[in-house]
Amino acid sequence: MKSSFTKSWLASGAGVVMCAILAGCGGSAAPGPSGSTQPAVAGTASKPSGGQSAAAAAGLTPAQQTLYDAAKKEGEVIWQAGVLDQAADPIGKAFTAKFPGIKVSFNPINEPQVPAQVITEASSGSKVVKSVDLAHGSPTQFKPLLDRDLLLSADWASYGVDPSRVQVDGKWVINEDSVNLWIYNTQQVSAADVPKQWDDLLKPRFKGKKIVTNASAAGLSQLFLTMGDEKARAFLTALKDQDLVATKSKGPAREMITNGQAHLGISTVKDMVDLKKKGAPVDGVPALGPMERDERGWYIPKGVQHPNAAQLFVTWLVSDDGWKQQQKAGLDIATPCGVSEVAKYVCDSGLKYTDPKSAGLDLFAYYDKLDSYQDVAREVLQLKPQ
Amino acid sequence: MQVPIAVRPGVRAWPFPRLRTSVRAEVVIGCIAGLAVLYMVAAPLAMLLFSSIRATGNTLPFEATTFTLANYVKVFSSGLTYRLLLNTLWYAAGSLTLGLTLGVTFSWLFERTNIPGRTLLLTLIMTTLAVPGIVDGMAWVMLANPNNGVVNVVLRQLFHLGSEGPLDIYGVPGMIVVTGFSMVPSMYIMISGLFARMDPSLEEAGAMSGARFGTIVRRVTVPLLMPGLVAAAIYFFVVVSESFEVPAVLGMSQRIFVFSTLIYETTHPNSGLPDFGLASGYAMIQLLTSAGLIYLYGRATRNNARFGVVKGKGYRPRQVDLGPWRYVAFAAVLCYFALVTLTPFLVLLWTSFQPFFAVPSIAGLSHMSWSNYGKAFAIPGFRSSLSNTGLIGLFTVLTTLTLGSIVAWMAVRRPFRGSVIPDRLSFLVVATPSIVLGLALMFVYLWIPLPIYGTIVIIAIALSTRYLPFIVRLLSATLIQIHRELEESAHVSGASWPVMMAKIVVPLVIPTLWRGMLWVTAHTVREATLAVMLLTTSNLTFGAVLWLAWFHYTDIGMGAALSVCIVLVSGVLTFFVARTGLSSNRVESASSEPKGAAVLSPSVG
Repeated sequence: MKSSFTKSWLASGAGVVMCAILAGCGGSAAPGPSGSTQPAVAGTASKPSGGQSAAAAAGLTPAQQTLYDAAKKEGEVIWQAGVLDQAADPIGKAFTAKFPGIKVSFNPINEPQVPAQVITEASSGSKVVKSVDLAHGSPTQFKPLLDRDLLLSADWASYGVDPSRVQVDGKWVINEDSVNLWIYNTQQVSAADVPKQWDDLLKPRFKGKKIVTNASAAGLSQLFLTMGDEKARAFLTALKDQDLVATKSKGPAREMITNGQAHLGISTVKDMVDLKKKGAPVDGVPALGPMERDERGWYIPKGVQHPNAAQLFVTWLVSDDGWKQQQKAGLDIATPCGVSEVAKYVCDSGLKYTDPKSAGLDLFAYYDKLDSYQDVAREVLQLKPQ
Repeated sequence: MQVPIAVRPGVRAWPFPRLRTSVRAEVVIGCIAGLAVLYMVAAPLAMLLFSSIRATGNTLPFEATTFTLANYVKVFSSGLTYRLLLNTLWYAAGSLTLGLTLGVTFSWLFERTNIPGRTLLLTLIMTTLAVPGIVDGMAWVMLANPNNGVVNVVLRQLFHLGSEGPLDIYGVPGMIVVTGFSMVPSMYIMISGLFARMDPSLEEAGAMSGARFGTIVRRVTVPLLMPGLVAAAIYFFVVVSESFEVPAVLGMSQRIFVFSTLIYETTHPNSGLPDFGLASGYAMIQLLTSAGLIYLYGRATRNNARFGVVKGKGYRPRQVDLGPWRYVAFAAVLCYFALVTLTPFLVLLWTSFQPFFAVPSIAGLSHMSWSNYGKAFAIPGFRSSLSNTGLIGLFTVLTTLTLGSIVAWMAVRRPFRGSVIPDRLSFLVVATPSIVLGLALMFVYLWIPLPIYGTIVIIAIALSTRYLPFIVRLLSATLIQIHRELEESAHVSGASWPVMMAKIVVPLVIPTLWRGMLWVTAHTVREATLAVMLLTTSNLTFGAVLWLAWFHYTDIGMGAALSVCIVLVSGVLTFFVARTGLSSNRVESASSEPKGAAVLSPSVG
């Protein structure tokens, strides 16, 4: 037994060493994904050279320069954006190249989770929001923060931000938009079978786990706006009888269509364009409309650690320079016509869409309405526990 | 013939004799362990209770809102609650039956028979230990979805069937099969020790008395295994009831909901804030169920001396000679591996090299590339996630094994009144939804002046809290089979409690500690819900990266690439542990004459 016991402890020691090696594999145990792992940035974090500063400052307006100086004193900015996760490093580097002295850190926290986390942090003893300085999201996501007066309002015009982007009294800066689109797998659905109107989805051809929808019914709630309540309910009831497959979100639904597990379902124009570029057997069904157009943008919670750096970062992100970096990361906008490949598809295909303007509603009234319709749609499609 | 402890080399007496006379060491250490458990579980349980009586339609529980019983009224007066409880019961019972049957079969084969290639087979079976349920679910969808599941495509081509099926992984049967299979490695870890410590002389005595095989199994084998099996069944029943991943992939797609889906729905609204109050109300049902089950377990094992099979006489688990059937058993285990582990792994491997999932084909070979691996490794913070996971793993393993050993010993031996409380408290956390646990910890560490919020320490504490119940159940099942006469002999010989623990108990439970270490390490690597909930810029973990790939980027290729990595790491880890101590036969047969008993109390027995 003794030898076995000794052997066990030796092995146990080896196990601990293995864990230590795993810990060591990551290099320095010092924290920080994204910008925090960039030595060049860290090196210039607190005191950039005068030459760098002068170079960066060139072309800044006095208001921007004042903001930059204040941001440099803060020395860091922590940002979050689900759609830009994979491009966080190059975007951070590009910003630091333009504005030396500000370390860029990225928090991959999930977008819908941000408000609860911010409220929790803002309610704590220190009242300091530590997890993010700025976050990316839609009005429905940041509304709980707006309701609690936890959003910072800034004078974006003085920083040179296009006024048409600034919404909600300077508390939200629109960054990009997207339009939903029905897509289909070209290997599973012949050209003749591609739906030309909504009722075509109810044909026997699409019965039996052929159509995939997301559990939030995104892309269907606008039917209540466009068809009217009664007709939309009747249509969705018939659609449910087609034996749909449901996924948690649009992403897995898109994957199911791409790989042929499902024949058609709802995605976005941007996803369809990207998939086609990759050679995936998918195409759009622009005849099924109007679809929903979504806007997303940046907001800064009150009580963040680096409010000036956050404002500077937003100003840069929505500038030509920042937008180029976002485009490199694969982000795109869907309107107006011709500004991008995605926008070109929307216009050329004749895809119709709804938004607050076309519905004649203000931002929150529009989204509140869609939310309530989404709930009804989920109930009719039996996507809610019942 | 008693030998004074002081003359034995390597055995030290309790160094504080004065203290020993006034307060017993086990009481002091038990109280410290109890306080540690209380520290870990009090916050989530208090938050659960507090949230459940707060009106939280559009507010968080700690914001200015009213106290109310409306959440309970809604939970208990809704028919939905009972319908979903029935669904959950059916799903959990089915999964448990499959997982337990397979776990018992493998435990018996690997611990009590002379099946060839034990280490290899064990490694193959256990390889999926670190694979999260979401990956299992997705892999099975790729294999057996009715439209273009790989197995279905092959079957249709072979037998000229229609354009759909014949298999359909969606629905409750699919959920049961996938969950049951994924439960097997954990189940084996929890129950294999029971078989290793079975004293065959008891069965042989039965046989010599003329009892038939069935009678021996019913009257001797099963009763001896019962406490451990019941502990495992209770634990996994609660875990399956709380698990969300497989029901989300295979159930929600067909609009089949279970209780965990309901809690998820409540905490993940399309817009606005999660309704933590209502979610806590639902979770209280799980909590009460767990409390009831653990109470029944306590009653069933109250007279635990009946189950002690490891005694001072020495015990030598003997292997059953399967004769030529051992090769049949070997082939059967290999078939199981091919079906349950290898096939899904190959689909993941194929997908990891493809730009998007497609049924394996010759044409698909031309699309193969490493780009998914490149993308996965380029995720911001990927490198630091490895170091973070390693450090969190170290902390969690040390905490759960140390604390779990003490808590389990206290629960089994009951050296003083109230010594079972830490065990019962720790188990209640199993029923607490991860999202509620995450919120509780976030809030607690934002409020108290301990600067661990946003660091890896808060995740390590969260995981230690989450995994402690498993380790306690694992060690309880082991300790209950170690007869207290070994410890009594040490006590009679003058050994202090710490010395007795170090020299008698720990050596006997070493294989169990090995299994516990493997389980905690694997689950630390795969855990995502808590890690994502407590995520900041500096504490990204590998599990969170995997979660990001599957759910956030919804990039199946990248998710598959990371899953392949996790299977390989898990396989290497399992192989390493299997060679040293995973199969109890290797160590416990060697330790069949417990050192402590032999040295300290040769006269006993």
